[in-house]
Amino acid sequence: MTGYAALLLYLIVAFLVALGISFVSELMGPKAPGGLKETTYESGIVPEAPVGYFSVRFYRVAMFFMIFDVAVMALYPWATSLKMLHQAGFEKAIVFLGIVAIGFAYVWNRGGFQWD
Amino acid sequence: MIGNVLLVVKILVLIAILMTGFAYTMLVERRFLGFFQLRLGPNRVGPGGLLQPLADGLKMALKEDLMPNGADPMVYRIAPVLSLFAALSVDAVIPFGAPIHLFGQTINLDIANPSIGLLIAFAFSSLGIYGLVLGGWASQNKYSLLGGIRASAQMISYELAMGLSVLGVLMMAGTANLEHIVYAQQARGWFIIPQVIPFVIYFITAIAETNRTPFDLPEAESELVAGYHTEYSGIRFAMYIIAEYINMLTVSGLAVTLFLGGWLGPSFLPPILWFVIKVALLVFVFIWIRATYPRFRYDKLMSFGWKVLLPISFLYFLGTAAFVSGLL
Repeated sequence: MTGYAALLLYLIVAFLVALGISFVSELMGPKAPGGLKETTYESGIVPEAPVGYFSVRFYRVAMFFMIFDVAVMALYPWATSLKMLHQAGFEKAIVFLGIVAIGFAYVWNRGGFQWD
Repeated sequence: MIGNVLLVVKILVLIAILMTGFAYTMLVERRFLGFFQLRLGPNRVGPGGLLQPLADGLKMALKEDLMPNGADPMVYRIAPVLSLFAALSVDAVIPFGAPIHLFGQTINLDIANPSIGLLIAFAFSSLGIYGLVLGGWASQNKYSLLGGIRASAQMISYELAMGLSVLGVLMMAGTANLEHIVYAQQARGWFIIPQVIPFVIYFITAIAETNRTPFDLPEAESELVAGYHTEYSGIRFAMYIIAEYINMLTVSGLAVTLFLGGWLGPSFLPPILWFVIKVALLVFVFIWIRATYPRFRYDKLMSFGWKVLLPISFLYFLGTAAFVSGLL
């Protein structure tokens, strides 16, 4: 049992350990439900409507991340074999990276990374 | 057959080591923070405070398990599990020492050794963010939600620089297999020497990814109470802390493997001890930084990641690529 099977077994064990630990308090801790301790802590203000909305700026960051992280991920197999690709491989990657860099410069110029 | 038994033993030992490792990292951190601030730190439980982790663990386990009224019960319960699971899983691919020979068996000191080891490590370390975001969202608390969202934005902003900073090592080693990367360093010296700037960038992004000071915006207690784990109590709260410290050990282990020669070292100490010493040194730097620097402001944090770290690591990566491909 080697390689990915071993990895899978480890993942299963790790998940079970984490799951098991998470029940310890429920089993061992005291249980006295009720009262104000079941409300959320909002610095003394009575909590209102359910929360779940947040600033659109976070979506923007997520979008940039998607674009550029896919580009970086595409470089991983290229990077591991660069020794065999020599200069030709480097030059072809430069074309791809140039396009990504133009996109990066454009976003920067439009203030995409400005957090205000 | 014997291989399978060995594998199960290795898995259990690794998880046990990580759990004790976390506990004593935390004790060491509290002691050192004490010394940094000219006080003693926890030294009452057991000789020199050595039983303090046990006392902390028991205290956490014996606390009442609270869930806020508006919380989503399923997500609220599963979020810390995800966090801890992701923290534990990364270590499966890190080689802790040279293969050892015992009773005619060759034992690799890692659980799995796939050719895409580094990708797997990064994939699982990114998975940890789900625990933070889901926990923050499921608590139905404004502070928690903000903490969770901040954590995700910070993590993805620094992920890019981190991904670029290790590409140099991949190019020079010609493989993404972590064990082969260590062997490549045996042949041509530690990668920190040609790659010192990527190493520094990796370490900065690692601090940001583990949400440690000065990048601990997700749990900034002066603005967000406790961030994503405000509503958690008892062992579920502890699980977030466990995950944070195990992540700290893991990113240090990855840094040692990629840049600092893994288990390599002079032969008067066994390889695994060299690995532990190097990880301990990096963890000490983590603690040192925590004791030294104040927290970043949020807009500075974001622009530092996108406008400083990302371009520098990109340029250094281009230079390394030109060098490795034989252009220079």
